[in-house]
Amino acid sequence: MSDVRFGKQEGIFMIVNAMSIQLFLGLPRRMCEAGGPAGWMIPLYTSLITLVLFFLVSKLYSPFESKDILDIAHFAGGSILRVVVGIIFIIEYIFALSILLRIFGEDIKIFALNQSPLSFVIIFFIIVMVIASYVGIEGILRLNIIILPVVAFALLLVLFGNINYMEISNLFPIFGTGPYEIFVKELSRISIYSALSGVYFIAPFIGKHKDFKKVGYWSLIIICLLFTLGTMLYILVVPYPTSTEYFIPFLHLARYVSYGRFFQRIESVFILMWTLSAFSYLSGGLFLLLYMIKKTFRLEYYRPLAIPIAIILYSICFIPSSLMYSVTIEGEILRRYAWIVTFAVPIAVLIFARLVKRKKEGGKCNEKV
Amino acid sequence: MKKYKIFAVIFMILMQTAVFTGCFDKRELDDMAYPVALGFDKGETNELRMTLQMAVPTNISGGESGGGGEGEKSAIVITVDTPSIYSGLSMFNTFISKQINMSHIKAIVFSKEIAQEGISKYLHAMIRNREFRPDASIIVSRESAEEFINAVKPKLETNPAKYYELLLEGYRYTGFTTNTELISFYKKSESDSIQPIAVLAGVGKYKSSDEFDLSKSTYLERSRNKPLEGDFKGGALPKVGGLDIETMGLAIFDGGKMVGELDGEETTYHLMVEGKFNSMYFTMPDPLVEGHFIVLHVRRSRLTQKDVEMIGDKPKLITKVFLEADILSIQSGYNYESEENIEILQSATEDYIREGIEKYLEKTVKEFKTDSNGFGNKMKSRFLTWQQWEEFDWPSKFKESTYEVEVDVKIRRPGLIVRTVHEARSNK
Repeated sequence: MSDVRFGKQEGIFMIVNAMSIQLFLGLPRRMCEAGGPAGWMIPLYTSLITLVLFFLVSKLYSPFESKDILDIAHFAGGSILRVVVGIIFIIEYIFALSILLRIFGEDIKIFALNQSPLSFVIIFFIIVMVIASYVGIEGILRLNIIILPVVAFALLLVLFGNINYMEISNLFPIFGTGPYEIFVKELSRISIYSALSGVYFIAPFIGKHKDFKKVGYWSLIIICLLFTLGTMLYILVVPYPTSTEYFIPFLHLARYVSYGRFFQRIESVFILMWTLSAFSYLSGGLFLLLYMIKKTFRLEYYRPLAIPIAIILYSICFIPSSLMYSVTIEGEILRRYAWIVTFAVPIAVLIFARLVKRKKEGGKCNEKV
Repeated sequence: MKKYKIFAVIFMILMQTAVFTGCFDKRELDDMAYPVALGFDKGETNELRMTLQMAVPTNISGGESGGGGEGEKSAIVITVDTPSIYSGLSMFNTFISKQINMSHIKAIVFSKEIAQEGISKYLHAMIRNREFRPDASIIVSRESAEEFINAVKPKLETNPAKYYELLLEGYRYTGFTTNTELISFYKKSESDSIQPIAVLAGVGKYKSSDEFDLSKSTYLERSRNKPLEGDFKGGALPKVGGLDIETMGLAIFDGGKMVGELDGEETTYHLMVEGKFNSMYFTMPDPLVEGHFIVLHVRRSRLTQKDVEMIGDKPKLITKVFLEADILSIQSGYNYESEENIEILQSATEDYIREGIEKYLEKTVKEFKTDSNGFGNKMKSRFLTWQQWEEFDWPSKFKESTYEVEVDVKIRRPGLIVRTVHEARSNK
């Protein structure tokens, strides 16, 4: 696995796909709940804060080229810190993957396979996740490169198909629920960019620090545009407060597309796009989770873990009693507090590692480890 | 190369998982029954009387009727009394061999009685279900929905779904109805800056042309001697010929509750103000020769400009409508085509339409008290936060509105006749 190298483009695709999945879940609705007609401002301004945070992270990261965050934790605090940091990330990934596995499965059941048992629907995601993680990061990245253009095309289809329904006045009053609600109370929404944590683990595969920075910045910029424009599109079509009602906003938008008698019901394209994105996200997520477990506990192989971990995720995903409960957990816990793991923990580890490095090397803290 | 093969195999497996999962709960197209219209009345023995018009695919394709052409046989109509929509569907499924699937519903018909009580609870139930299409049309029937759906007997179409589609698209060239999609209706019913509308329909009563009477026409309200084509509401047209249903006019709602009706002509003005007007044959009195009419083919030339100005505490609704027209008929034979006379016709047309729009606005503001043209959407942009907008309370302010209407008409073409020459009579 350590021999595998990939370019910044593949890295960007992987991170963008991992983050963009929220657009097809409840992100636009959640932004409307918080910001009303100005819901589109939340991803825009939180992305600016995230860019500043990533700038800080990348500055601190500069002497640790080709090292992942667990290597750095090990450098700073030995095995104990490595295991502690590793367990924090492992818990976050298990939590996120199992919740999203449940939501993907439930959503597919709601709009496509409503007669099938949920356990049957989710098992297909599990199979794909296991196969993909066996194949490894290279296969997952290649899959991402195929999937992303398909997803982009489907998004454009939904965008252009809804032009007739767009109403500029839906964006007013311009500050929606109010500046305090948007800019202060929703500050914790920087957690919507939590999938950026993947970049700390793909750093050894990317190699150069310059490329690491590019992957981070470009992923954030692309996702900022996607989230902001996606939420704006949703608000333009569905006015507030109706916009707070729809469970899967983009499914509704896809259902509105209708040009003449032949070009309609394109939500079937949306379902394909949805499934491909979910496969890609979950596969990448499981691979990174296995990678973390391997690195944290200094295991030699990660592949034998794939099936047991997948079964654990499969079991955990059924713990929430209902879909509403799963959605609340995703929206109010994962997308509010994940910033602690994505930014606070790595920044603390990196600062500590820099101090240790300075102490060890007597002030030459920018020299590469 | 080996890695590429592995990748290809995985990709194929991924694609197939998406396809094969459908087998678990597959439902053949042939095992389903597809209603094209759904009607709601107040029930006699239960809360709701629900009527379904169901397509008979074998007759549509010509299988049983030997080549099609008999639209009325291509659908069956059934009615039940039920406590709710979905319990009604369960009841239907007890005697229909195929499972009912609502994904091809084209028209959702509410009786006027049920619409006046409020239809929000039914809309919520439909929006929640993935089978109901967002582009199904909302119709309010002045008779019972059951009577209306039973009267739908297309003569030119074998496919009832296509009949509804074409019928409800007709507003583009008649100007007497509009498109009232389920989703637009739903969104407007929850908005405080625009209110929903629905197509007004009815069932013609006349068996022969000798029975025609004008008691239900609205021409007297406009102090006319005889009705023009827009002086009717659905179900009141003097017509016979087997096609019993009529769609003319609009039902005006306040939230989910119907509060009034517009006739055909008022609907035209509604479309002009809203900016949805496309084109129509427009009849107006000759401005110079009494007792004669001029018929124009009127089209929208530019988007309607709307604005709201606050004068003290009262809103002033400002509308500017831009139209262009071709001359179709000048009954008096007056030479309006000439350069000097065309101005007279243009300005008379502008005055006529402006007066009509003012009367229409007077009705919506003072009588219905609902903003069905969305002036509130313009007003909303003046506020910074949603809280300020809610405190402003547009719906109550709207009732105090005054209005200023400007109409710009350009007569572009005289048709194939460039100058009217008077008829030559032997006995003058």
